[in-house]
Amino acid sequence: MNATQKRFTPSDRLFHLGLMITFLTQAVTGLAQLTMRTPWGSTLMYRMGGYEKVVSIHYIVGIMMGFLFLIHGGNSLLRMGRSGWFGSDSLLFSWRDLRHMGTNIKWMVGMGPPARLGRWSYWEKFDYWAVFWGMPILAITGLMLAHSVEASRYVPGWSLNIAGLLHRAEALLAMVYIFGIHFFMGHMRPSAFPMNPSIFTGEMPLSDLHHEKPAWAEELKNQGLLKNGGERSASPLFKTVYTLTGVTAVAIGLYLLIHTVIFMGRMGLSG
Amino acid sequence: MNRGVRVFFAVIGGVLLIFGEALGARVGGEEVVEASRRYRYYELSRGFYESHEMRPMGQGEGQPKGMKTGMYHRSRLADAHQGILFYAGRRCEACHPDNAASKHGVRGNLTCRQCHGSEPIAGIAHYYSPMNPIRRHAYVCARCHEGAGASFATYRIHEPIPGSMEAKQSFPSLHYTHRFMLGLLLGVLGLFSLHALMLGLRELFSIRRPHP
Ligand code: HEC
Ligand code: HEC
Ligand code: HEC
Repeated sequence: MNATQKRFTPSDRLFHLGLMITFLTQAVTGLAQLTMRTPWGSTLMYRMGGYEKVVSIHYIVGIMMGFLFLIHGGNSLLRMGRSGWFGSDSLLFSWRDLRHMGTNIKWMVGMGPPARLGRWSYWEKFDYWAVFWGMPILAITGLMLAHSVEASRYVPGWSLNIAGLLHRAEALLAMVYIFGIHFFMGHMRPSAFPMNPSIFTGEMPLSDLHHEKPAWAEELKNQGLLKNGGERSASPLFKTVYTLTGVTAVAIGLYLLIHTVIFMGRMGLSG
Repeated sequence: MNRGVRVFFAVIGGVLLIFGEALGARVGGEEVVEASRRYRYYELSRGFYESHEMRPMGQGEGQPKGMKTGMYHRSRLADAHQGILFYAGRRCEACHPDNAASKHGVRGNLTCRQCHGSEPIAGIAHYYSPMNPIRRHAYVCARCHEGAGASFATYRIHEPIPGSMEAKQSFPSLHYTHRFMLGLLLGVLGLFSLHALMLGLRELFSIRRPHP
């Protein structure tokens, strides 16, 4: 597995790491607020130092997440400006993605070959955009609720009820999606188990590349860019660190998923 | 200066002009509001009579004659629990279980009386009630939320359960937001969990080369 293909830039990896940390923090502190009248939630709340502390952590980390989002947006715009908006490197959806999905669904039920995926598969794009649109919704409604008096000068007070509902529903959706589906795709499914480390290392083994992203491999070959990753495999220390990070995140996520589902079973989207 | 820099300064300058104006008006404006505006800080009428703007029986000037219908609604009483048996000594939650679920109670750990006041608890729409929407912002909310205005007080403390039929009646925008989010949630999760499951099974069966 020495030959690798570069897949993520260092900034991509940093953004993902930052998002991982902030998202998990927001998930824990947010879920603790939603469930604080249950035994599990109140214990969690107590362990984290009490309601007020949890609310202020949620606030500060939320602001950090917002900045991360803004920086990422600026960075992406610059990069898109350089490398073009559409084309096979782009994360924007195109009709091809819909066709790929159709082909793959046929493949799953045993009709025909799998789709020849490009650099970003349609579900990877959806992962990206789901988070991309979720963040501003959460940020805006979160700021409205945290600064409710100020917000009520610009919007009627009852829209704070709606902001609360949106914040909660969007967060629950994001948690179930990330902890359930994103983790499954990145860690659990047979070809990725126990973990697909490319978002940490930035590199993808060539053998995987040909298998999972044949269209991209072909394109890279045509451009003469194939195998532009590092020749060495990651150092044992780095391997240990990212494996631990990934596995810990998945463990926390699955634990939270269980409690999110229990909460939603009881309360639905109302809190 | 190249063109990009000039455009940048032009945009920033424009933004500053617009928002600086608005900010200045907001900061400096308070000193110059006339007395009739200042009255709105404490009491507010929308300019037409609503049921909560009616004075209790017989006290209203200019109140339509014979307007007695609905007068003996508990919400209009100075003591909302007037004449209710076995009221004394019981907890509010015993009779108003839904109201105890408000965020202020659950998260803020407030007691009912921190908003509803001591005995007698006035009906919400009693003309002199601090809870009356005319003055709720100033007499209730602003005690804790500094600077609360009339708009702020339209926040529903006892929010109906968003998915309920009651919410559809009394807070339609909340109800339809809930429907939309529920649809989104079920759609996204339904589609992608099915997709993930099938992909996982297919990979399992096609015995792909295991990950190195
Ligand atoms: C014995 C049962 C009982 C208890 C205890 C009780 N209430 Fe009530 N309350 C009622 C009934 C019945 C009404 C009239 C019907 C209604 O509007 O729900 C009422 C009405 C009200 C209203 C006016 C509703 C309106 O529409 O304007 C308020 C406010 C209120 N209660 C608050 C409280 C608070 C605060 C407490 C605790 C201090 C409390 N109640 C305890 C039975 C009770
Ligand atoms: C943060 C302030 C606040 C607190 C705390 C509060 N209320 Fe209210 N209550 C209101 C306001 C404002 C209304 C007016 C209507 C609304 O917002 O739903 C109201 C309305 C009511 C009503 C009338 C009908 C309705 O449901 O809308 C009842 C009954 C009531 N409250 C009972 C209670 C009880 C019981 C508690 C304690 C568990 C409580 N309230 C705590 C602010 C408060
Ligand atoms: C006795 C003090 C008190 C009064 C009176 C009070 N509030 Fe609050 N309010 C709080 C506290 C404490 C919080 C923070 C609770 C929390 O962290 O969720 C809060 C939070 C809020 C929020 C933010 C809700 C959210 O989801 O984070 C809104 C909106 C709000 N109050 C509206 C009102 C309105 C409208 C009134 C007047 C009817 C009112 N409050 C009266 C103490 C009060």
